Formats: sequence, C-alpha cells, structure tokens
Amino acid sequence: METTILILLIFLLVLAIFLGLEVFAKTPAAVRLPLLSGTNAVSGIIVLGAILTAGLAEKVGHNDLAAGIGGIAVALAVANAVGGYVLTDRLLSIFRKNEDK
Amino acid sequence: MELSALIHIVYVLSAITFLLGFKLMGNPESAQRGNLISGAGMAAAVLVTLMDMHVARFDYILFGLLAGTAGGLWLVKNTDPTSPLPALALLNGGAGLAALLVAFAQFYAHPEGQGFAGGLAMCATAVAGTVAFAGSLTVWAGMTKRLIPDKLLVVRKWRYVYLAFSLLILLAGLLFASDPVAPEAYRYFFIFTLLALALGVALALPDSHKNFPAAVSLFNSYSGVAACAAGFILQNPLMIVAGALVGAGGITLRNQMR
Repeated sequence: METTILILLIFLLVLAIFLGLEVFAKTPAAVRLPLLSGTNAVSGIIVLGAILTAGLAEKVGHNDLAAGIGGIAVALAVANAVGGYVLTDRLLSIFRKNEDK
Repeated sequence: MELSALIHIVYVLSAITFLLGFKLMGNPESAQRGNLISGAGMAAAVLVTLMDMHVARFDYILFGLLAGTAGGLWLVKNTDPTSPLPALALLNGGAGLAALLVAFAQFYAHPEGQGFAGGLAMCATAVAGTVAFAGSLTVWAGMTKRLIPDKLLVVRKWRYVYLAFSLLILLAGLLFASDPVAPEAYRYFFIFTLLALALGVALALPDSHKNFPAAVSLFNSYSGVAACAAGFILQNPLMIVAGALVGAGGITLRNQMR
C-alpha cells in the first residue's frame, strides 16, 4: 500500500471515530433501540468489500475460488443491509403508532 | 468525467446520508425519514461499486444480491418488530461472517498485494468479523434457545481471559502480517480466526443472560470495526468512514444501555 494513501486513510479513520463518538454521545433512552437497529443496517457497508471480492477477474491466479467466497459474503452482507433497513422501518412505524395513541 | 471520480463523489454523498440518518434518528419525529435517507445512501453506494473497474464478473454478485435480499426480507417477515433483538443479532452475525470471508478471499487471491499494513488490515478484518459473528450467535442462542449453561458464567475475572486472548491474537496477527506470502501465513490466519471465535463467545457470555440490547450493540460495534478494517484492505474510504461510525456508535450505545 502506498504510504501517502495509507496516511490519508488513517486521517479519515481518526476523524470518523471522533465524529461517531460525538454523534451518539447524547442519545435519549427512547431512541436507543431504533438507533441500534439503524447502526446495524449501516454495518452492511461490508457489502462493498464483498462486491469487490466477488467481482475478481476470472482465471487469474486463485481468483475463481476467492470470487465464489465473495459471492457468499455478498449474500450475507446484503441480507444485513436490506433486512436491517426494513426492520428499522417497521420498528419505527410501531414507535409512531404508540406515540399517536 | 472519470468513472472513479464519479464513484468517489457518490461515496461522499453516501457518507453524508449515513450521518444525516443517524442525526434524524435521534428524534422520534424524523426517525423514519432518517432511516430512509440512510438506506438510499447505501443503495447508491452499492450501485456505483458495481461500476468499479475492478469488478470483472457479475455472476456471483448477482447470486449474492438476490439471495441476500430474499434472505433478509424473509427473516424480517418472520420477526415480530416489537422484539427485534434476535433478528438483529442474526443479521449482525451475518455481517461479521461476511467480513471474515472477504478478508480470507482477499488473502487467498493475492497475499503479496499489500505488505505489512495490508496484512494487519486482513488480520483486523478477520478477527473483528469473527468476534462479531461468534458473539452475535452466542447472544442469539442465549435469547432464543437458552443454550448457554449457567455454570460457564462463574468465571469471575473475564478481564484476564479477554486480555490473554487479545495478546495471543495480536501475536498471531503480527507473525501473519510480517510475511503474508510465506506458507505459514495460512496457519497464522487459521490460528487468529480460531482465537477470535473463542474471544467472541467469551465476550458474549457475561451479558448473554441479562442485558441483551447492550450485548447486541457490542457486537454491532465489532462488525463496524470489521467493515472499517476491510476498507483498508480494499482502500475504500466509504467502508472506513461508515465502519468507524458504526464502531464508535455501537460502543457508545452499549455503554449507555448498560
């Protein structure tokens, strides 16, 4: 990995960690469960890595088996993202109904 | 416009939707809208990643997208949204396993790729993913089937168990990263994955009988860390940002719920 790129990525990492700690610092107790569900959906971002792995070119080195493993990873990650967002939405619509009463 | 520039512009917009989504979800009034915006950002990120020049074949990707969508929707359909925790644990365990698979496949396809830093990123991805996988499934077992015997919970000094596992994992990871091309590298990969499996179960046990939301949140944090580390293997900035947000947010939520 090129050193300049690595350092920029570490820069990004440090800022994102602080931002994450700041954004979640004062969450009211009522929204913690939906937020837990929402962060779970975002961890489906691993799907990008899975796609880049499952799309490895054919017949180069060990790529064929690696791409197959990547395909399983895509399925698991997509399930987490799709399931996560839909579940959060259903959870929040119940929240809203309870508030309307 | 160059294609990779377009991809990265969409990545920046996606990162904004994730942050905006978390902000809006902090208020019950706007929460549903926040979730929708965040989901749209995720969909856009997936679409532009399909256009990446490193994506040379689509058969496995198509299989994954279809099977994953069907599986995720099926699980949610069979979940009572008033008690979402078991489903969340399962979904999160899946994300952790996906991270482990990505790390292994990248290592298997080109171990020579990235030297020491890349090796460390592969180790971190595999370990955090495996901990998220093993921990989530243990919590899920505790919530639904009560498979965890009470006697195991008697270990009083969990802290030392975690420390020992972590040091061993660090050692195996350093040995692995120092020479990912060596034939022994496979052995080290196997060793730290196995240790991470045990660490995940050990981390889940103290919480798995009482505070389920906190336990699920902890392993959610780990799957974020795994996605973040995978971003270093693939040099993907959106995975790093989104992963770090989930990692930091998950651990914060966990501490608030304890």
